[in-house]
Amino acid sequence: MSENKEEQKVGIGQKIVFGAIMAAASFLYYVVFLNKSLMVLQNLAYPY
Amino acid sequence: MLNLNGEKKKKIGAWLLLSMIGMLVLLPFTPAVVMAAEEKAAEAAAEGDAEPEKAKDVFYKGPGEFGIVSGPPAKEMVYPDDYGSYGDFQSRTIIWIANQQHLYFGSFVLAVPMFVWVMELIGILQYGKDRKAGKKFDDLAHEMMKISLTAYSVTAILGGILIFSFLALYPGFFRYLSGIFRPVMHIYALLFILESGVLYVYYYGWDAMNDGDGDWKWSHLALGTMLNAVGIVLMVMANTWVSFMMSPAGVDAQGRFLGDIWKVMHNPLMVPIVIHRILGNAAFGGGVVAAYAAFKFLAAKNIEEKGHYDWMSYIAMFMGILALIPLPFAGYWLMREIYAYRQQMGITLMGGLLAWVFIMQATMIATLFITVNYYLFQAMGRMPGSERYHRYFKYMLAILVVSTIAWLTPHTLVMTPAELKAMGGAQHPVVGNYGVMSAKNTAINTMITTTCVCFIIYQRCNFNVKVPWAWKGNLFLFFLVFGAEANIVFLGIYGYFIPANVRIGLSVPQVASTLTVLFIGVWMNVKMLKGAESVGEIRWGRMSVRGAYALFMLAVAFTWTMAVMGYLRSSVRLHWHVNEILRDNSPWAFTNPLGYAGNINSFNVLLFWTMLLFVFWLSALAGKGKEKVAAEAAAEAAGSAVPAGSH
Amino acid sequence: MSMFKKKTLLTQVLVLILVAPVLAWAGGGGGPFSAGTFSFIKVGLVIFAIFSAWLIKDKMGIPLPKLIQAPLLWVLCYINFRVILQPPIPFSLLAMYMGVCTVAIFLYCSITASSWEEFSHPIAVMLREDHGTAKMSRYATFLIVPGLIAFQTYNQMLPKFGEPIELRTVHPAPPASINVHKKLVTLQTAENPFRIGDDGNYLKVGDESQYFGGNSWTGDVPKFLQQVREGGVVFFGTAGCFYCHGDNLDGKGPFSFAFNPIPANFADPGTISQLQETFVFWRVAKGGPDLSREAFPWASAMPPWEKHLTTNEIWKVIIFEYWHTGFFPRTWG
Repeated sequence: MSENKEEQKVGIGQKIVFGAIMAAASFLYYVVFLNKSLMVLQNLAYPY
Repeated sequence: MLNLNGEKKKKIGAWLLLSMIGMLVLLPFTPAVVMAAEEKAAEAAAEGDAEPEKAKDVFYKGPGEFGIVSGPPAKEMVYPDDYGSYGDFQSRTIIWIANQQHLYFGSFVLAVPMFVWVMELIGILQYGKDRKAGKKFDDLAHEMMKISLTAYSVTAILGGILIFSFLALYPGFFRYLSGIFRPVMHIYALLFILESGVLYVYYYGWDAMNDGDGDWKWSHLALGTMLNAVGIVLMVMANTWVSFMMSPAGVDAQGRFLGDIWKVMHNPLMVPIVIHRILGNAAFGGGVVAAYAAFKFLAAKNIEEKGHYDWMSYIAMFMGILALIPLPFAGYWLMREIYAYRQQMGITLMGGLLAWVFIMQATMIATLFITVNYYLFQAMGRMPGSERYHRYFKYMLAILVVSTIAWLTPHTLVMTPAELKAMGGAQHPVVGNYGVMSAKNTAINTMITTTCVCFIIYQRCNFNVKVPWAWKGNLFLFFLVFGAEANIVFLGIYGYFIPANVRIGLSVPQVASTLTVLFIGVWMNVKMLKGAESVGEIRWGRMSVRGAYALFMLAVAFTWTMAVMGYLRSSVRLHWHVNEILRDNSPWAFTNPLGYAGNINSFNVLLFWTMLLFVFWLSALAGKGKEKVAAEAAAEAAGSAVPAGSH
Repeated sequence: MSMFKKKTLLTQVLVLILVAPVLAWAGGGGGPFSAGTFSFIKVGLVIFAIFSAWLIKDKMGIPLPKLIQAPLLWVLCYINFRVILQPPIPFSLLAMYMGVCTVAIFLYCSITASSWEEFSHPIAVMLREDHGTAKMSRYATFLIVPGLIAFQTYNQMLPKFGEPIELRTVHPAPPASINVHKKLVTLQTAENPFRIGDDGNYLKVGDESQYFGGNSWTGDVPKFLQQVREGGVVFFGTAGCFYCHGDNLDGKGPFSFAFNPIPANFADPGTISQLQETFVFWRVAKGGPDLSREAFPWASAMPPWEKHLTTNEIWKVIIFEYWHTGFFPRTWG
């Protein structure tokens, strides 16, 4: 269980913070950037 | 025998060969140059003479698009004068089978050199680092080529059968089409000869030109490049005839050739069909080679042999899947172009007469993706450490199944009037929602995303990730996949609330989300695996037999899909030989019903696999002889050595 | 170990979060419940099933053999598609779904070497071993399986008196061109002559959205809305489309209940918004009598309106239909 030992070094708080950042980043990337840019490129309406 | 000794000789030889190849590549263009010159002369002559008759192109509608009439009009076909028949047998079915078999072998023969080329390149690149690994790839490429060689002659024979069937059964139609394509027909024939020549030099020169990663080997690879180039040009030319039948151009409304062969070849559906076919060929070729390896895997007598074929089937399957992933998008583009060309054709395909064929195709595609995942699950049996991921398999399978159910739900349901009454209308309030495009796109993208995740797990399952930021990487991967999936589902639902033209546009970001997972996910995974601690070497040959069966399933699904979509593409012309120009007036001009088509397609698949088994058996036969000789030689050597030792 | 279990639970919850809105929205209505309640019950059932499976298997340590899991899952799937999903789906669809589920359950049982062993071992014992239990179960199996097949055969052979299955093509392919009032209309290229902007030129599809929701009855209206108004006059006056297609163009006009199939619902995203304007023109002008051969059984009560309306009136009523529903005709390229 060497994997677990290393995992334990990282606190749960740290994980939550990083996870939140990642969640926000993935939202921004997919819903805002990807969808919007690709719809704009096709000259189609996209409200978000 | 080539004498390869001496650096200088080697260099000169390699360069000579390369320049020859270069000249051969340029060869097909010479007729074009000659033709262009002739055309100019003809034009100059025409200017002096009386005004030539000009007519309007059926497709190219620009202001100056009037061509000089240079061919006879399409004749009104008369039965039985312009058609032949073999008794009461449907001529169309004979042509259908001849065509399909030729196409199967043709695609196989064109696809295998693509793989072989990639394998050989990998082999050469690896050779510098690790001779054994490089040789392994090289041998694999060589073995694949061996299968393709026998298949090549079968292709030629089937091509001959196809032409004879055309001449015997559809002479009027064949005369018209060959009249239009006369300027390029001989180029096709010459290219075929060139292809044969290159193929034989490529195959038989394999060992002679094999000097690891030296100049000869690179020249050999260049031969492979040329083989592929010629093969693709051949395929494009054959495709132009097919696409001309679907969407003619370069002729006037009476079917008279207007003098510009390029316009005939570059008809509206040519490019999308070519792209779709190249990708399809590659996927199909991968499937067939994987099936071959699976067959050898099951038949192998010892673990080394098993290991070799396990590895080969994995590589072939992987290459096939690489081509399979962009295939739906190419198909989507083709469909869009068909709609843009003729609304009538598009609706016949998607909403009308042939819509049910798409349900069949959907079934096959779902089968393909589930099979690939199942194969990967089985393949993880050879990876020590994969046990850690077993618990996730069932969830992935569940996602795949739910997607499949949405993917398969038809828009128009088959039901008895009693069931219709019980449902209260033609559309089911719940299930009906899954019958439309938004749900389909969501389902297929979910399936591809799941396949990506499965592959990511496959890549890492025999490693312990050692990079210090592993937890960050895992979280990143998690949100990459979760975000993509959430976005795919969100766009799918959003699609129900907007007009059709915007909804179609939504499929682009959906696909982009899937591709993000594919590329960024795999890239991230590879990064994380840097310096990872191996749990154990991959135990090639330890895959369960179910994995091999899955590969058979995959290959058969590929062939069946090809058959069914071939029927679809051909049937959409309805009663035309050449759409809106040359009418089919034979008694077989009707569109065959689905049940009949299903039977013929299955027969075609069966026939193809029977012939292919023969090809496999032949190539094994050649190997057997060699093994025997080698074994005898070894025995002899041992025999002579033993007494010597006993003295 | 507990780490793994937490992860499993977490995965399950996240999957549910992802699946819940889909289920909730697609839930529809069932029996005495409203659509919303019904979908919540369904989601609840799924959560409960997963939770109890986790409780029994992981928490209480009671393993359920694969050989029992498989039929259990199959029955659950059957109950879901046959009983819970309301109104009942046609047999063809049920067969398709259950086919997928059967294959999936088999794949589930053979997904890893160990689970295949777990699944197939009892079967092998039943077929091979020579002790009492194995023998008994062997006899039972060899009685039950052929019995089931015999029953199925008997059922198949029974004469049936139901009406035959009807495979209706809702949107058959249109002809390449039609003749309306002695004028040839090529459906691939024809344009609606009344799709005009303020400058009197052809209005690109999509640009008409600026007129959506506008009042076409005020004195000084844009040219486009004038056409909409005249189309509306045709819809509600000259032709009386609304008797069947409804005041709201939703196919629920006062006469609609007399027809089978019911009149087309233009407000549904599956009808006019999927089709090109010329397709709609063809349907209005030619009606049921001109349906192509593939549109078997030609079940359409639509009259051929070219006998009662001018070409211009047909084009205008099409403008009105799209304007009223807020859909755009399909275009390509």
